[in-house]
Amino acid sequence: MKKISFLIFFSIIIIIFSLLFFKSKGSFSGIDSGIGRIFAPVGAVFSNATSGVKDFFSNIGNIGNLQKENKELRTRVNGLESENARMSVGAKENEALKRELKFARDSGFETISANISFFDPTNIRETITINRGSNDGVRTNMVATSEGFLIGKVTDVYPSTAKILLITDPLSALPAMCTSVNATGLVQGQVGMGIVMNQIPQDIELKKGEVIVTSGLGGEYPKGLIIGKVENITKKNNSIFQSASLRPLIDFKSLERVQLIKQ
Amino acid sequence: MILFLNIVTFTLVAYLQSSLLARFDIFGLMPNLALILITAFSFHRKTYMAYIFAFVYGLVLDSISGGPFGIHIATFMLIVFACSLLSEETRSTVSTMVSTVVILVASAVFYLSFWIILSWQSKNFAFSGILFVLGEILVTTGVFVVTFPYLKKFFLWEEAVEARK
Repeated sequence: MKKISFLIFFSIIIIIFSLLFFKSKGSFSGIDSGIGRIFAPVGAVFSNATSGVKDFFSNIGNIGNLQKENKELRTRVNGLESENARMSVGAKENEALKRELKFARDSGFETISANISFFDPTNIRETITINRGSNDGVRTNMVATSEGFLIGKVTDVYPSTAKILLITDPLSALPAMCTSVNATGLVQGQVGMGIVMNQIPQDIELKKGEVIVTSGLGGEYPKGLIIGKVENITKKNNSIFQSASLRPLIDFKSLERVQLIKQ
Repeated sequence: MILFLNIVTFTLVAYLQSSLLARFDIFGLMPNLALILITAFSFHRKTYMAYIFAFVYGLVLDSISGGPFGIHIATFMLIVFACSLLSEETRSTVSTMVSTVVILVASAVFYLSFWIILSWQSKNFAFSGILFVLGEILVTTGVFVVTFPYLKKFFLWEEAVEARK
């Protein structure tokens, strides 16, 4: 038995040395490449899988730290995002305030600032409720502007709130004129369709993009407040007047603050 | 409890309608959540309670709105009346079809009468206004169809909670 074991041990040693000898001579290169070609794809799959498993097991030890780090980073990202949002809102507000200040300085009007509390819930009437009333000096018929553009006038005043009729309301009508040509007309709101300038004489050549301002006729609105720009012109042969739909230069749906002009 | 929840719901909807929703319209159109809520409420609550809510809620919305004053109260009362006729015995099993017809008619009455009064006051019967009014009616009805099953569940849940007490 001992003899057999000894023989086997010696045979293995001889085989190993022989293989090492032939390998060093390059005799196994064909066999190597064949085996490599067959097993490489499967090996790659296994390698990847085991590498993932290895990573998984090596990460298990770090999970506590990673979770903590992740939580900290999330908190930081949230903080930075909210700071960023606050800053952009602040910058927007700052711009709006600058425009309002510029308007008050350039026009020489004394104004009362107010924030919007409510919009009209019906979407047919165009009114807003502001957070200033008679206690703050607000009076009926005060003209309301936002960032220098005309938006309407005060119709109802209560001690701490007031209601403004916007120029887009169907019951709003105000005398207006074009800045470049000698054209006057009446700007009226339309149900859900913005504002239209009516009663413009037919012989006037209006162009798209022309700026329309208040004419000051009747004394209800000061002269020169910007209302909007001409968007479409409607001319009828059998009519003595033409009309033009206007595009307001301010988005009435995103109004936040208004200035009331003390007259 | 149930009364408190209803008051909170109605207040929230009023705020939503007159602040948030007013800023996010769909092509200029905005669903009338107040009409939707009153209709769903009328189908699932006792008639006298629905009348009280309709009146108070109408009064609040009429005072926020630019008018004509009373249009909300009148429309809401009409809705409660119609719902009480249609759902006297089968309040909890009212179908979406029946309730959709009610909201369609109610919003048509509300918006068309609104448009007629405004056009008469401004002496300007613009045809474009009719298209806008039709859009409002359709948007309100569409939102009602989507939200009615949830509102129904909510009101029935409230009732169940109350009954358990």
